Amino acid sequence: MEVTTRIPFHKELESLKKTVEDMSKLVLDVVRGSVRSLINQDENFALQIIKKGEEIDLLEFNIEHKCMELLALYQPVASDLRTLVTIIKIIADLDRLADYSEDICQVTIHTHHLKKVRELDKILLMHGKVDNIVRIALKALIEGDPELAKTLSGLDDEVDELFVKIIGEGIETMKEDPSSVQFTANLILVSKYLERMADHACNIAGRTIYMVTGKRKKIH
Amino acid sequence: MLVVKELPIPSQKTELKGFSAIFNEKRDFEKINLTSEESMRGDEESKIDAPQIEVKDLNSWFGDNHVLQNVNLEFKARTVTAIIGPSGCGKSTFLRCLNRMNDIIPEFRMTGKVLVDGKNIYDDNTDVVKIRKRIGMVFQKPNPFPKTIRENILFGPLIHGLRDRNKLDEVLEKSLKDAALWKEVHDRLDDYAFDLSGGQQQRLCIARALAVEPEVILMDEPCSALDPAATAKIEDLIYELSKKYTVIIVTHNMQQAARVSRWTAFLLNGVIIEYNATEVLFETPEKRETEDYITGRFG
Repeated sequence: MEVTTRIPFHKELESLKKTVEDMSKLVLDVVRGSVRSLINQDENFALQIIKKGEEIDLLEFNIEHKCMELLALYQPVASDLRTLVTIIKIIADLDRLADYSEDICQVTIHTHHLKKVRELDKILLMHGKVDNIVRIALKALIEGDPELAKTLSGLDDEVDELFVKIIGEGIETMKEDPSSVQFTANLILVSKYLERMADHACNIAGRTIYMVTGKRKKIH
Repeated sequence: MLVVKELPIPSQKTELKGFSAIFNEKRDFEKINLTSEESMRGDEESKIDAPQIEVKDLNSWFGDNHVLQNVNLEFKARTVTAIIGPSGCGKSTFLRCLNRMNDIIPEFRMTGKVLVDGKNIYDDNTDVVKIRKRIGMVFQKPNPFPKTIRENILFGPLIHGLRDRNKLDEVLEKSLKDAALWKEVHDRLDDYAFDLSGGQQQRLCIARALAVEPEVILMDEPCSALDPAATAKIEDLIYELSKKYTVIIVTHNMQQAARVSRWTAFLLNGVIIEYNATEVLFETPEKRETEDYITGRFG
């Protein structure tokens, strides 16, 4: 990259935040796309989503690099420091969200030829809740809104309940119909991925609160 | 880091303590668990954190210019306190109030009290020379006397009446050792002070201040004329000095304040905006003005 003059720190920080926003939007796309590919049993779409995951990896790398550079060159303090450190932590959560999405896409690829099972409805329901959590967490992050981040408290419990339910019902389904085992077992994995996604989104919300207010709060 | 271990186990929906609070706990912890070396210092150590200097309702003027406005601060003993703020905010004036260095400026006027161990140094019967002996000062530019290294160090003790040759030699060695200069100059004590490098000259000035056995050392931008290596030496020295002395340092350099001090006061237009533990001030400042200043969004 050709840089002729040094860009002032706060401009750098703003453009970094913009990149994090881009990464967040991409992650949200990938999260949604992965479940869509699963529900529609669309292998090609799953492959497209996996491709997008590579873009996210690259963004994560670039953002981390930029954070290190800004820390080294400007020794920021107070909210600037909190923002940079939070970004470094958050991009790991964003990356995990993308990784779980990729895992779901892999399930699509392995199961798209199989007969649908009833657990798919539950996955769709669970995804609705997880999608909501991820969306709120990312919106709070991008807008730097700690109040919005706090609204996530408790939402994760519903996801956990659904996760337990899917395991129980999945086992029943597999007992009743041995031909459904391959798909159902994979869907149980997907439910675990979704449950973890909600946790990572909650981490992002908690870190957003710290970034803006300087107060540490754990969101469950 | 230690701190991480001390993080409380997060329970659901309870607010975690800020790092600042944890740091403060850690500080208390350190106080109780003195290392063997520290506890050997005995009585001296027991005075730790007793407010050695207390500034009460200090106002000052240069002519009509109201330089310092209602300053109230306590400086803790045997620790480093930094005063930061933009140029012209009154940092140096404030520092100079602490050992009556402004007395000689004709248009200077002040009200309020500066209590050193409970006694106001502006009381009528105060011996100003004694005050300046207790509260030494180091300036922005190294200002050794145009004399030898030995004469620079012994100037103060001689003025205060010390004549015993052995004692004088003791003071000379001790002061230079405390200022981390002994190793570099012990074989050329009768060299001219100006033959030393800038950083060495500054340490010589610190040694000269130490020679009269002060309790408090005021430093006004002590590193601003020095290169990074000499600055690092002075900063290490400040840390060592803070084990014995109360150190108050004025600096434009926020990173320096962050590196060397335990407490930081932010002064803006003659008003103390925020006085906080240094790590709190630089991680989660409480005042908007502080945030704006230290992140460079000022003005």
